[in-house]
Amino acid sequence: MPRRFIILIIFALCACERGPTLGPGDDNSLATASQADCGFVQNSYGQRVSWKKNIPVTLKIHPTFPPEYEDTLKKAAQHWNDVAGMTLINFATDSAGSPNKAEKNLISTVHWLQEWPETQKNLQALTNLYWQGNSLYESDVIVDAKYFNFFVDKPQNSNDIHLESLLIHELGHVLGLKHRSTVPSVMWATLQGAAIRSDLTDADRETIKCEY
Amino acid sequence: MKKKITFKKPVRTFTVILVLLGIHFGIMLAEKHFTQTRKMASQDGATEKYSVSADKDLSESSPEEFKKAFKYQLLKDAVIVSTQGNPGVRLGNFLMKDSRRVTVPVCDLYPTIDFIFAAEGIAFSGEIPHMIVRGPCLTSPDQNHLEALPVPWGKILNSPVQQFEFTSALPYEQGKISIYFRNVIEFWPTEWVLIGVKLYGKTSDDNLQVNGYEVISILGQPLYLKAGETIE
Ligand SMILES: [Zn+2]
Repeated sequence: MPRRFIILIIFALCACERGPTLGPGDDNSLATASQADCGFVQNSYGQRVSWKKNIPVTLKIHPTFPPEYEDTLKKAAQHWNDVAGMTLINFATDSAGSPNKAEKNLISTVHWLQEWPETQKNLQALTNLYWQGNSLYESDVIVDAKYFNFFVDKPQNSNDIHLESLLIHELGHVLGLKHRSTVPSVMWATLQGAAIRSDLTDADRETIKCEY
Repeated sequence: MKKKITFKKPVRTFTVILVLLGIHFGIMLAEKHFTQTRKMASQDGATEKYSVSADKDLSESSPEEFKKAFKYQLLKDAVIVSTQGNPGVRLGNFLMKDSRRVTVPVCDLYPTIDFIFAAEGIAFSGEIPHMIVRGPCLTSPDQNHLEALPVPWGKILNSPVQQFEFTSALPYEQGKISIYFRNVIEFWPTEWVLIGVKLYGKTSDDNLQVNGYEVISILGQPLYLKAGETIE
């Protein structure tokens, strides 16, 4: 009995010191990523980062977010919920008086900003993502309402951005997805004015199933 | 009549542990003995020129052995050091043969080095911020290390995030460091992890590289660099 106990302690100590397992090396390299990226952001071990068991993510909608666009935001989330076959994202109302900026505070939020730095005026929106280990713990979305106009049904002019398409993309980032460039996807880095890109593709479906 | 020595179970267990520990320390001592610092002798008259441990001399390695051996020598003692209050990564030196079959330190053949870092735990729109610290490859005075290239965090953190390039002079007129950032959008990340080292040779296709997974496999964990870190 004491021997078993000691052996267990030794094994436990060894296990505590080991990080995630890396992928195998080959003729030229000593090690590779722990996992295939599958469209997700990876941590320094090459593990995909996602919300793991902390699903659904609750995004608080800041009071500055236009009420007439809340349905569009929820519709955008529903695309991801549908392909996952479960609720990945839901929403709550942010308390009045909370600052209208994407600060790191353990609360995931969506902001509608009338102020936006001129040096970043080409950005339609931005999503900040934070993780520890391979688990996401916060994500904040900010929409650039200073330099862009948005539409729901029909654009007023050719530079207007289809809000649902933009929000689908940003919510993809909230779920841990990175940009794609080689396959049809809602995660392409650029969304042209007046363009509609609101249908998730086969690549998007396959991606989301890698983690959720 | 000899009495048979018998141990009770817990005593036997501790004896086994003591024997195992003895073997462990024995191996450590033997290893230390065989890697004792010695003067390097090479065919070309460079005898006694370099005073490094034997395992750092890769001049006789075959191309196949060299592919991985240099990565161990670069990284096995990798550590964050502080130079004038700014943190940088100090790597291990090793010796190679140059084209004339003369044994020389790696920096003689690869005069420029990149340290590549990724921000830890942060992405902006799915893109992880990256930082490249580029400067001269410098052998330390004790010849066992490559000098760290210190990152001037004071200057960086007081600059707007749109500034993606910084330069900084090394002490004692050893050259300059360039620091390049990409994917930094909202704020300066202050915790970074080493995800690569690249040594540039004198021709564009000649370089030596190590990636972040290899760093972890050699050190057992990622190597973190924090803004304002002053570990000596
Ligand atoms: Zn994006």
